[in-house]
Amino acid sequence: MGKIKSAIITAIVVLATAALFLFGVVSCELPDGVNRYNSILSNVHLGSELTGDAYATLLPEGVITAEEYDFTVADEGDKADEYRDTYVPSGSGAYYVDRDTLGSYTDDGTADTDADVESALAALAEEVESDAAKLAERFASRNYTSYSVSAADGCAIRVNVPTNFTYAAYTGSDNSSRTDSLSEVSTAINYLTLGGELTLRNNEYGIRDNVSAVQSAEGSTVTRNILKPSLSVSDVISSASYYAAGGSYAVRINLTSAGRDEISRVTAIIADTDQVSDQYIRFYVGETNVINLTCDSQMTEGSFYIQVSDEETARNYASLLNSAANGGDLSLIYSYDEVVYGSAVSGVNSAMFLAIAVLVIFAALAAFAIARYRRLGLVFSLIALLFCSAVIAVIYLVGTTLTTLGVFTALLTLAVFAGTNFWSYEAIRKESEAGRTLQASVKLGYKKTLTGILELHIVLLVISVMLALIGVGEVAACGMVLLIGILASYLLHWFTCFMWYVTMSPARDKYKFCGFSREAFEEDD
Amino acid sequence: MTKFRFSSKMHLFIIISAIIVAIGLAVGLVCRFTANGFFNPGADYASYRAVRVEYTMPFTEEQVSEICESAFDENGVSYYASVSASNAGGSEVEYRFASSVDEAALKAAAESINSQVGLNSDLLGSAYYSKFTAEFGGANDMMYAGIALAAAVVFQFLYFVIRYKFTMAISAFIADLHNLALFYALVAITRVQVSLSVVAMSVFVVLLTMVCCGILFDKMRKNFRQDGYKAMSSFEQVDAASRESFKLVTLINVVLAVAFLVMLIFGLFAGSGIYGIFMPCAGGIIAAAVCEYGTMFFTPSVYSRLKKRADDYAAKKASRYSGAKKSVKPAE
Repeated sequence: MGKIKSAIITAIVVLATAALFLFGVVSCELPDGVNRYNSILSNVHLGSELTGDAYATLLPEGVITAEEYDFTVADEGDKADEYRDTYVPSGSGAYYVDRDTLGSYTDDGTADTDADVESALAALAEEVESDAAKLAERFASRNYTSYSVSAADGCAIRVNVPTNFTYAAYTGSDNSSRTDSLSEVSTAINYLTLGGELTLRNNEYGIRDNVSAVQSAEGSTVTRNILKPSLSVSDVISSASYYAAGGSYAVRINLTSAGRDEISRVTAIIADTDQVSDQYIRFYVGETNVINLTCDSQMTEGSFYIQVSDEETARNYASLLNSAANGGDLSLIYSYDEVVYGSAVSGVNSAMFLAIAVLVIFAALAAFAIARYRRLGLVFSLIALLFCSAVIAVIYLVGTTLTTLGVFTALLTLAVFAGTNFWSYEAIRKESEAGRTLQASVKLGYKKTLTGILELHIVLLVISVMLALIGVGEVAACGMVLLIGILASYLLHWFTCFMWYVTMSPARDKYKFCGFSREAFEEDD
Repeated sequence: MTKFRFSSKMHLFIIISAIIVAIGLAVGLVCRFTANGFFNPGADYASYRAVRVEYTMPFTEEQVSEICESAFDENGVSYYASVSASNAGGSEVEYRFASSVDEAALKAAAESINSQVGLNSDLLGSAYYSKFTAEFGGANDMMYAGIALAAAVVFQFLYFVIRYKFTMAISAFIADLHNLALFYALVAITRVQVSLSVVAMSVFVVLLTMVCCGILFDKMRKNFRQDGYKAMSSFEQVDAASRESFKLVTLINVVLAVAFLVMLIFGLFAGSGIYGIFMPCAGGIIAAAVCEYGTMFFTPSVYSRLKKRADDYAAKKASRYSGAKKSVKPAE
């Protein structure tokens, strides 16, 4: 290759890599002084250990926080005495429980004595812990990278889920993304913590039940339970799952054989506009309308899909409906004041420090490569930079959440990329030391390592697919990062070879360019 | 490492590994020390105790932190993590303690804080102690992580059967199990929290074991074809090949351990003590150490025995043949 051609290709690749890296990693204020450019990396969603999590404290009816109690009592207003008489503190004193609520757990319906209060608190704790276990299952099927559900003092439930903020959102540089993430988290907590039974309802057809009575009392639209009294929802619905295809999202409802017959019967009626004008099957959890299925015609299949607007909504509905249809309905109705967003448990600036650590490791790798392979090491470092930028860009495009372990996995793929290149270089070094020309050494070196490198990548690719498909949460996210990194590693391995050829062409001493020697040849001379 | 002769010392390595695993099990299941429970579960699964402090102006986070630190010191308790947040009423900070921390001391500390930031001081803050009992919600994630891990191990076994030899595949499989057992034992002994990140680190152990075993067996496969090796016994052959791959395998593990160490140090600079990034990094260092020991010391000693048996079996089988061509086979 001629010098000019080589210089042009090198310049293009260097500029493209530098541009991709700068756009990928560097965020900055724009000259107008108002707007800001947030890098691709700062727009990647991060795990809770890096950007914190959101939590809500769910209080069952009749339970208040100690803050509310203390403020009301200290206020000495009308309610102070009522609160003193009505509420008793929980074990740790962080919550107060209404005596009437406790009374429902005693035989005589009152909780006047200390013994009654103690046994009622224990019974309440049991019920709350049972609900916490059901909630934990709901959040588990929601596919979060991390989450926790815990019973607080046996009177309340604390739910922690990752905010999945991007770094820009976490630091307040991207308020739009922050608002979106907060909205997603709030919606998820709102839906997944819904209490009450799952019922399938219609405004006109069906039988009136407890929910209808409450709606009637509240003056809202009264809905009717469409299932036969002899059938419960778990007899009809076997499972609900998240479904996505071609950018469309849906909840897939799988029916039992009895459910198939029943839904076929009911949809035949609801689809008939002469009989019923409301052509929806409304899925209610407790008294909340979660999702509606439009019935244009009789449905005879064993499963059906309800399309929703986005992935988050589909996951929320699927998790909630699956839990509620399989006996996971909460026995108590919970409410919460607000969703609180906490700082990262591993330190407010942990994401930044982790990024600096990765940069240091990359710098060390580049320094090693340059020290050992001279200008070839420089070429390798350039492509390694391209590798990092490409992996960041693809992770951003795919929307994978990057956790600490995801960063480790990305580093592992960088190690694979570096290791396979160094392996080839060493093989070429051996060939050139044996007296071959550099061109012959390169050919032979790459040929000798080709099978091993291909094998390694295929094996890691298969494992990454296994992790991404079988694993859930953080493991699946790591599998995705591994998949992206391994594909990038293999493609850029050959691109490094190409760039080596391009950059080396004009060099007079090609051995010096690579830091190689040709001992046998020199001896011959 | 020119006198590297570990393949004849399988019993010694089995004893060492068994002792470490036994200590790990004892620490994880019996002793528990002062951690969060069996095997010191991480924040995803752990029950904990907490003092939650809400505060408003004129307090700043630093002032509240000082008040809390002093209250905790006075009552002789120390927290393992703190999370600050903004809520509708102002700001809050939650200090999390292991579930073994004395309840009375925490209540006293909360009261002490409350007297300084709360209603008693005519301010709108508050401080309360709470006890959180975690539901094992991570069981689902753990189960799927386990299935993914098992699938990876099985796939690796099949790959080694196809790529190398059956005895090598068996050795790699044993190395996987050995390294995983050792990894969790060391995690228990060092009290690294078993969070989902550390569970997922098991996959890293399997991957690293696969790469290291691949290097080892690749070297063996190439070397065993050489004439110089044919005259050696099984143990000598394995020792010689292990010596040659020792440098590369050690280099990989040391580089990875150093990379984890760098991240661990930067994690400490991030300012939250030893939680969050620290634990997965510590897990990574343990994983690298386990893979070095498991691959370079334990695996050759196991494989050399399997190889000897396979060679003996092949020799017996060959002795049944009278043809000279076939009788050469076992020697190869």
